[in-house]
This record gives sequence, structure tokens and C-alpha cells, in this order.
Amino acid sequence: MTPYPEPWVVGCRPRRSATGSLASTVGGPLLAVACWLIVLSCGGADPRREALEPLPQPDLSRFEKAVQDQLQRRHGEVEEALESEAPAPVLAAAFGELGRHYDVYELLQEAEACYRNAHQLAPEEVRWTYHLAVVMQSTGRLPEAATLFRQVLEQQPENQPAQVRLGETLADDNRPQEARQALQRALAIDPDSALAHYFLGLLENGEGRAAQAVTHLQKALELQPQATIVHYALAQALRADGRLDEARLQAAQVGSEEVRLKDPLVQALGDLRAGAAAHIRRAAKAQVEGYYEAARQEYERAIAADPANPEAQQGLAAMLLELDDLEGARRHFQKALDLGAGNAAQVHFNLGALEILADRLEAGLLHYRQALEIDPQLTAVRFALAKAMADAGRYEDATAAYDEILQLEPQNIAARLNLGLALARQGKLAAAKGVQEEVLSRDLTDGERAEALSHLAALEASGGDLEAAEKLYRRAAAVSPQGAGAWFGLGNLLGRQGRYPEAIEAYMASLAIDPKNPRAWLGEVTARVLTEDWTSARQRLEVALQEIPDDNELAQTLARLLVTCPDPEIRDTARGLQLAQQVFERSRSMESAETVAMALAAEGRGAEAVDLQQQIVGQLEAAGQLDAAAAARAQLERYRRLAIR
Amino acid sequence: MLELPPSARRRWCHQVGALWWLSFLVACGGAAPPAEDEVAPATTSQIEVPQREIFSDQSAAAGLDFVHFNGMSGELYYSEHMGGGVALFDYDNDGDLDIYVTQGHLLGKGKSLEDATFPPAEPPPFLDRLYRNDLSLDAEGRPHLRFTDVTIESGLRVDGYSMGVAAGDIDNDGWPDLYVTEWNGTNRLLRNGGDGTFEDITERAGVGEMRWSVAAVFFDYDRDGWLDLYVGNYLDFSFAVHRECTNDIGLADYCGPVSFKSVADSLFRNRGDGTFEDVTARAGVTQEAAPVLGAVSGDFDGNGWLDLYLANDEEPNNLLLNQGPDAAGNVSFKDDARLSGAAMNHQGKAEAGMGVHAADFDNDGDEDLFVSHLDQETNTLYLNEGGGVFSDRTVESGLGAPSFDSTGFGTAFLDYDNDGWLDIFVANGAVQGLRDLMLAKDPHPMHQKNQLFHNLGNGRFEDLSAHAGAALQLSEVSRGAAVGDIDNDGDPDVVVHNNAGPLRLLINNVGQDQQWLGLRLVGATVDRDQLGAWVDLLAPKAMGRRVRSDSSYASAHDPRLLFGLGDSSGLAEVEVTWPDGRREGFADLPLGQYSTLRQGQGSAPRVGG
Repeated sequence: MTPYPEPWVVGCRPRRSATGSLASTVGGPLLAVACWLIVLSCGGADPRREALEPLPQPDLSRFEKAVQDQLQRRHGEVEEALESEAPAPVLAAAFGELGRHYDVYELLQEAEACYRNAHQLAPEEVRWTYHLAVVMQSTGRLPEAATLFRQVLEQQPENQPAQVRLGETLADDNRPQEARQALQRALAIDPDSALAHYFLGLLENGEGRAAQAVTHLQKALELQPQATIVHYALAQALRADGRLDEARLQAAQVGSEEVRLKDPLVQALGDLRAGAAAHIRRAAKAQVEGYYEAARQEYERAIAADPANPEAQQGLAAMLLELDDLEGARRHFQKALDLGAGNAAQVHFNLGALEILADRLEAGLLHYRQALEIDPQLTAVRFALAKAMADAGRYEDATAAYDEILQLEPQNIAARLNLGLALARQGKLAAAKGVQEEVLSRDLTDGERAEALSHLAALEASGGDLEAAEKLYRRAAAVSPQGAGAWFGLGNLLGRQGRYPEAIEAYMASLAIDPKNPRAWLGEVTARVLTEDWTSARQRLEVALQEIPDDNELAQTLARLLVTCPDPEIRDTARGLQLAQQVFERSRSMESAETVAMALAAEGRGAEAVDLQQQIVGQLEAAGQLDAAAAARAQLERYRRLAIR
Repeated sequence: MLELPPSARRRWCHQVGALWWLSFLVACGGAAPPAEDEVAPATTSQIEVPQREIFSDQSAAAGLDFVHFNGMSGELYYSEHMGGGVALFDYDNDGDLDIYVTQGHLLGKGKSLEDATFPPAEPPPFLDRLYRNDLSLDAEGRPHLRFTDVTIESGLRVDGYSMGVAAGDIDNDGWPDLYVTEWNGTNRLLRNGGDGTFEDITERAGVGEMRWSVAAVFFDYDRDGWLDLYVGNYLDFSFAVHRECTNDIGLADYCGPVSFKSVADSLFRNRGDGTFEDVTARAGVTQEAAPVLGAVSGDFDGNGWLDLYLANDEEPNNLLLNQGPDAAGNVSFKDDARLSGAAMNHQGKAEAGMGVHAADFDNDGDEDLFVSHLDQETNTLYLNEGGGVFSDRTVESGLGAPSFDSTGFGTAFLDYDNDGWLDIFVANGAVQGLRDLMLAKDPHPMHQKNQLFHNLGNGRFEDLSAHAGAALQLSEVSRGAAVGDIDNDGDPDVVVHNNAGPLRLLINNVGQDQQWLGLRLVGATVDRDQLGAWVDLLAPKAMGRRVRSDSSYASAHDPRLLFGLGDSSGLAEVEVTWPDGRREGFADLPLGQYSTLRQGQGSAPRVGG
């Protein structure tokens, strides 16, 4: 698993969180204390102290207890330093630290007052100047931010984050020449600063130097390929440079991931966060970035900090789901409900889907219904409910559910199409046909039209009008050539008529669009077997298994072909047995056991085949499946004869 | 199959500037605030301060007593802070602009009016209102405005939770009709009977959109002579999916739009027989669902066919370019925003688009775009570089910094001083509680001042808000804004819809001092305003304007055109490109008054045909 990366600051303006610190600032306070002592010893009152802004007193009542305690502790430290008339650097550090804590909880006005005081008391301490500058920048006071960043750079000319931020600030303040100089200096410090390249690219773009813009933006992308936001500016630059095709390619890749700045001081603020909310925040970030294990751990920490937090429970459930722990997910979704989660309908929806995934249909339907009790307008839940019932063969219930959706959303084409299917499954062919014809009279996308035509074709086929069905399937394929469904239906129809070469062609067209449809592979292979084209049947099954390696039915079909094929060139009983055993291990189904028995017999291991087949017969009889048991018994007799021989 | 709750939240909106000092007064009870000029933006020090109020609020004097009831009771339902809108249209064809304004109602199960944070100013039922303009001239020939509430006698009974309104004559009978967008109900098409009454023909016309819509645009996209309808839908929000959100300092607050699913839009083609067909898919506008709040039509790529620009809330905007008819005669659109440069700001960041307007602010012959946004973003000015290619000129224009602390909604280009350069008005109001106001226990802590930006004619604007009069010092939760010459004196006035607040009528006091040309464009055989027509003014100055009622936020503008002419004199000459693509010239038009141009009565064009 990819390790969870150290977070960077995204751009400059956006708020921040992360880890790290600037080692270069360590010497500052000690030196300043010494200076302060000299001032005091000379008996002069420090005017800096008199110009301080009042100590902020924000209302903390809405924060978690842990956060309140943390902020009050820091506040107390400042009060203590004020009361004890602590030396300026000490007081500056207390104000600065309080400022950092306010900053991380977005109490920016309070943070600003504290940073100002810290900066006033200890102007030599770069940290406070820098934090104050960042607050100025993020609140749009650009000239003041630029001045402060310049002060930082006077003391630390190699401070790359300050240089980049200065460049951005100047650019936003419509001072392009100064911005360009600042960014070029940033690149002189670190030629691999993606953000400096990015801002330079934007500047060049704005001033009509498209080729230069392209160079900088391409470099930014090269340094941070995940920064998909850059594609947008690059597309504009390429377009302006007359490279339209390349511009289109870039435009198609535009995303929202921003260019990041390595900014240790700002990133260190993130470590100050306390309480469950801090963990939830980190978890959410990890989740968005796809680090589910890290997100899970953060949610667990949030729950440890506040077990009654429904948001944390729900977040953990979602992560467990991503990590395939269905039971864990179910447990925590339930806890979120018990704790009064605000979006209970959504939680019930998730729980319903979970139960259905776990083959607990009734429990799943119950959750869906509970979601709908909370929000009757949630058509996505109604749709899931209807589909679950249709999948379970409860077509009447499904019909009623689709009807309810259509009462709420008469324009819902998907519900209408599925209603037609559900009616067809109940044998109500005329009604089903009426529904599909009604759908076709509406304003549809090509995909929707193709689907409706395909459904109508299937209905015609059920009614025995194969010619009409074929025409409809072909119309559907013409309307939406990228719709696999019409080709698949056509393949089935042609196969049913014994028109195997045409059926193979249709299945192949379907598979070219959707190679993950096992039924299309099976249809095509069946058609090839029926034309006794064993070689291509085997080849296509091998390709199918590469596409869908875990499909038991495809593997079993190949196993049976390998052990029963009349063509000795194709037959491979050893591999057939191996495949059959793999399928059996995975599925433990009666069919797969029969395939194993078949393979054993073909391999000449008649006694083992007899033994296994006898068990199969016994289980089928015990289950009351007498027809299947009779067929299995006939097979058993064949194996016995083989064993005797 | 499993849908996870959205985790992202809108950022905590904070306020700097004057309010920054307020927090210290509240917190410490201490020092006096700085003088106003200490906190005003530095740029305003160089502004030539007007001698009198540019706009003055005359709503009370004119009898506009509407107060919006948003039905809030502390639950922070997402929809309650998003309404509403206003339309300026001449429903009785008496030559002056009347006002239609959208209303809300009480929200929440089991709530009573006693629970309302802001009790309604009127007893139920809470209806959208129609005010008739009874404009007259006083003894000295000055306009005297008086509005009369004619809701009841007009037969209008729109009692849903209305959001926005569009105006256009859908049946070519010469009487402008209305389309009202709703939350938690069906949008309504209200046909103007021409006798002072309206009829709800929604069902018959087939435009009963049930999803939450805000923006609607009447435009003849297929050039068949009938106004079609684009409905911009927003989010899938209902009481059932209402959720509690907190801001970054832990205070209960409105959620952001990412907390709810977006819904797709609808395009309805006017069949010309009083009914519409839904051609959304066929016309290629079945783009991914996006939270549309602002919509405007215009010919952005100059191919002669009307396009659409959609401002989306925290998602990339759409530029639906009209491809014209295919071989079968079907007209379709193609979204080209990402390549055209109008999808996001110059950094590639999608912003929270609220209101939008399109006009030729730099008088170079094509339509530019202005989109209002959330605070901590900036409003964005997209300059049309020709052919539908845009560049973000926000920073260079000077419009960025002054909008950083405000959340813009209704907006319009308007030449308030008739100098021939289009200025910008923005109605502001936050969408989450402003920190200082929340701490001060303000019951509606999102109010902000509206803004006016003066076009300097060199690509730059200056913020005149602080000097535009008392009306722009009001701090309210403004949403819709409609622009039109309400007192017929030749300059643009503004009506502002305030959420949970009074309707404001901002009368322009300065534009009439300069010369102007007013035009109304009507069809050859019907007196329908020719929405979408483009007028090139050839003399005494050169500039172009489009006839429109769409744009802004949830609102409809005066469809007449005003050309500000400064100190010009003489007669005017124009060339018109009608919505069907034909072009005609009209000369000898008198200045200082409105003229009606009828299609087919002009001369052959001098410039192009």
C-alpha cells in the first residue's frame, strides 16, 4: 500500500494544515531575550509593549472540550506573561503560539491580533512575521502581505515559501513585473518549485506570451503531475499558441487537484489540532485522496476521542466498506444511526445496500423502507428497492416500486424502462410493450433510445416475432453504436435461430464495447461449439478468462471443454481438472463438483470420480432435486463403467 | 451503489475591513473604531467622488412595500437563504416597467408563524407579488413613481417557495409572459392574457419542471420565431436530506452546495402552439448535472446562433455553444467552456458562480462575461477575445480585490452615468454566517453592502460603492437584481431582492444628465420584444448591445436598450441583427427618448448583411 504522504500546502491562498518546522528560526528568541534585558537594564519603557492590541477573547463555547482546554491553556499563558511583565521575546512567543492555535481553528481575526503583537514585540522573529503575512494574504490584504513577506525575505533571503507567496501576492495585486521577479528568485532558490513555475506560467499567459507560459506550465506538471488544475491554464496557453489539438487534450484532463507548496511553518499548524474533529478532518482528507487505511485509523482515533460522534462512526463505516469489511461497516453504520446521525436516510440507504450485498434481502429492503420513511423523495433509494426486488424475482413488488418512482418523477426514463422489464418478467407482454413504446415517444438520449428499442425487441422475440425483434435490435445498435446491449440481444436472437456465424459476429461486437459481460462470452463460445469450431471456442474462452479471471461460469465452461472436447488437439484433461478444482474451491457449487467428477473420470481416475459423483447424487436427493439427481445418477453409472474398465 | 456522505464543507466565511474592528469593540469594549477612510480600500482615495447620490432607494416613497418572507426558524434549511428574484417587465404594455417579485413561505414540519425568525410582514397566504407602475410626470415634467399591488386582480396566485423569474412573450401575442422557478414545487408558466390577468398554463405547455430551479432563460435558440426556454436546475435538496452543518469554529451554519447532489437542466423547445417539447437530450445539453445558479444567452462565438453560459456553484461553468442546424434541421449545443477559458478562473479553480451577465463592456464588438462569486474568491471578468475565446481579466481590471470580502449574487452591466462604457452593479449577501455578525447574535448574519464599479474605459474599473449614496451603504442579504429604466428618464435603475428583507428600488440620479438613446425592438408582425437581437450603434458613437431579459440571479431585466452617449448630439444610426439572422439599418433616431424599431421597416444594412 502506498504510504500516506506528508501533506503539503495546496497553493498559497487556501487554508492549510500539515507538519514540519523551520530550523532556521531557532536562534531568534534567545538573542532577542538578551536584547530585551539590555533595554530593561537601561531603565527605558518599551514602546512596543504599549502599542499592543488587546488580547482576544473569542467565544469558545461551540468548540469541543479538548479544543476549549487547549485554547484556554494558551490564552492563560499569554495572560500570565502579561501579568508578570515577561520580557518581550517571551511575551512574543506566548502571543505567537496563541496566534498559531487560533489560526488552526480558523479564528483568523484573533490569530491576526496575536501575530501582530508577536511581530511588534519581536520583529526579528521571522515566524510571526511570516504567519502574519500569510493571514494578510489569505484575507485579501495584498499590499500589507507583500510588505511583510519582503520583511521575512530581508532576514531570510533563501526562504523559498516566502518568495513564492510574495510572487503570488504581487500577481494577485496586479503587479506582474514585481511578481515575475519574485518568482524568478524563488526558482533561483529551488528550480524545482512547481508552484513558482505555475504562477510564472499564469503570468506569461496573462501577458500574451503563450510559448513561455507553455514551458512553465509543462514544467509545473512535470514536477507535480497530480496537480490536475494546471491542465486548464496549459490548455489556454496552448490554444493561444495555436496548438489547438494539444490544447484539447489538456482541457480533457482538467481536474481540481492544486499545485502544492512545501511550507513547513504553515504545515506545522495542522499538528496543533485537538479533539475528534481534528481526526475527522484528517480522515476526510485521507479519504478524498484514496488513503483508506490511513482514513480508517484517523476515524478510529476520532471515535476514541469522542465515542458518541456519529460523523466519526459513519466515516469509519464508509472506510471499512472500502476495505471490504462488510460486517464492520454494518456495525458502525448502525452505531451512527443509534447516535442520531443527521443524515439517517443516507445511512439506512447504505445499510440496505450492504445487507443486499450480503444476501440478506429482507434486512436490506427494511433499511431502504426506513430511508424512504425519512425522505419519501429519495428516488435513488426507491430505485434500489425496486431493483433489489426485481433481482429477487419479486416482479410485482418491483412493478409497484417503479410505479411509485414514476409518480414522483414522470420523466425518469430508467424507472420506466425497468418497469417495462418487470412487467415482461410477469408475462404481461402487452403492458410491457406499451411502456417501452411510450418511452420511445419521449425526448431521449441515444443510449436511452437504444435501451428502449432493445427492450422492445426482447418483447417481440418473446412473442415469437423474431423478424421484428431483429429489426429493432439492429435499429438500437444503429442509434447507439457504442451500446453493447443491443448487440448482445441480437447475438442471443440469432443464436436462438441457429444463425451461428451472424450470432458470433453480434456477440463479438458486443464484447468489443463491453468485454466484461460473461454472458456474451458464453453466447459466443456456445455458438462456436455448436459449429464445432473447437479451436476458436477454446481461444475465445482463454481471452474471456483474461478479461474476467474470477468468473466461475467461464472457467467451468473452459474446464468442461478441455475434458470433453472430441478434438484431441484441444482436449487437455489435466488443465481441465485443475481449473475445475479451482472453481470448486471458490464456489462449492454442485455444478462445479460435477465438473470435477467429470475431469477426474477423463483423467482416468474413475474411482475418485465415482466417489465424488455418489456424494453429489446423495446431496441432490436429500435436497429433493430429483430430476437433477436422476441425471447425476446416470452420469455416475458411466463413471462406474469407466472405473471397472 | 453505496453513496458516501459528502465530507467537504464550505469554508468558514470571515469578514475583514470595518467588521474587523467591530469584533474588538464587542470583545473588549475598548478603543474607538478607526475613521472610515482608514479602513476603506486604498484605491478609492483617487476616485472622483460624485457630487450627489448615484442611486437612492425610493421603494417606500413609490409604494413598494414588499418584504420577503423566507420562512426561516433556526433550522438552517439550505433553500431558505437562496431566494429570491425580481422581474422588470411591462405587463400591461403602457410603456413603463412593472415589477414581479418572488415570495417564500414558512418552512419546516410542525412550525407556526410564531416560530419564524423574521415574522412575515403580511398575513398568509404568502404570494409572489405583481406591482403595476403608475408612472406619471409632475408639474415640472419630472417622473413621479407610484406602484400599486395588483396581485389579486391579476389572478396570480403563486404560493410556492418561489426562487426566480424569467419574462418573455411565449405566444407572440405581444404580451410578456412569466416563468417562475420554484423550490419544493413545480415551476410555473404564467400566460399574460393581455387584459391585466395571467393564467397558469404550466401543465398544458409541458414545462412543469419539478426539480429545484433558480435560473431560467427565454431565447429563440432555433431561430423559428418562438421563444424557447432553458431551465437551470440547482440541487436535490429537500427537508429529508437537510443536514446540520457547522462552520470551522463550531457554530451551526448553512451547509455548502457540495452537501447535496446537483441536478441536470432542461431545454424546452417552443412548438408555437402553446406547448413545449423537452429537447434536452436531443439538443445535446444533457451535460453532467451541475448546480446552475446563473444563466445568460448570447452569441459568444459570433456564429449567429444564440449560445448559453451557465454559472455553476462551486463547479466549472458551462459554455454551450450553439452549433446551428444539422442536415436534419436539428439545432444542438456543444459545451466548450474548458477550452474557451470560461469554465474556471485563470488559475483553473472552479468558483461558486451565483449571478452572471454578458455584455460588451470594452466596446470591441463582442460579449464579455461577468460572474459573481463567494467571498474569499473574487468575482470574475471574462474578456471575450473574439470567437468565443475568453481570458480572465479580473486582476487586471481591478475587480478582484474589492470583491474578495463579498458574496455576489444578482449582477448586471449597466451604464449608470451614460458615458458609453458599461459599469457593473453587484448585489451581495453571504451564504454562511459572517463571524462578527454571528458573535453579535445577528439573526440574519449574512448581510453585506451592494457594490457599484465604474468602467474607466481602459479595461479597468473603480469601486464607487462607498460614494454611490446611502442606498449602497445598506447592509442586507441581497439576492436577485434587475436593471431597467423604471422612471423612463434614460438611465438604468435597479431593483434588488433581499432575502428576509425589503425590496429595494434604486433610482439612478445621475445618468439622465448625459445624452442617451433608448430603443425597443419588436417583431415584424407582433409586438414581441426581440430578445436576442443585437444592435450596433454606428453614430454618434460606436458600440453594440444585445436585447435581453435574462442573466443576473433569478431575475429578469428591462428588454429595452439604453445607449449612453455622453455629451454627443445629433441623430443616431443603428444596424440591427434580428434573432432570425437578418440585418437592417435604422437612421435618424432622435436622442433623449425611446424609439421602437420594427423588423422589416429598416433599410438595407450599410455595414453588413
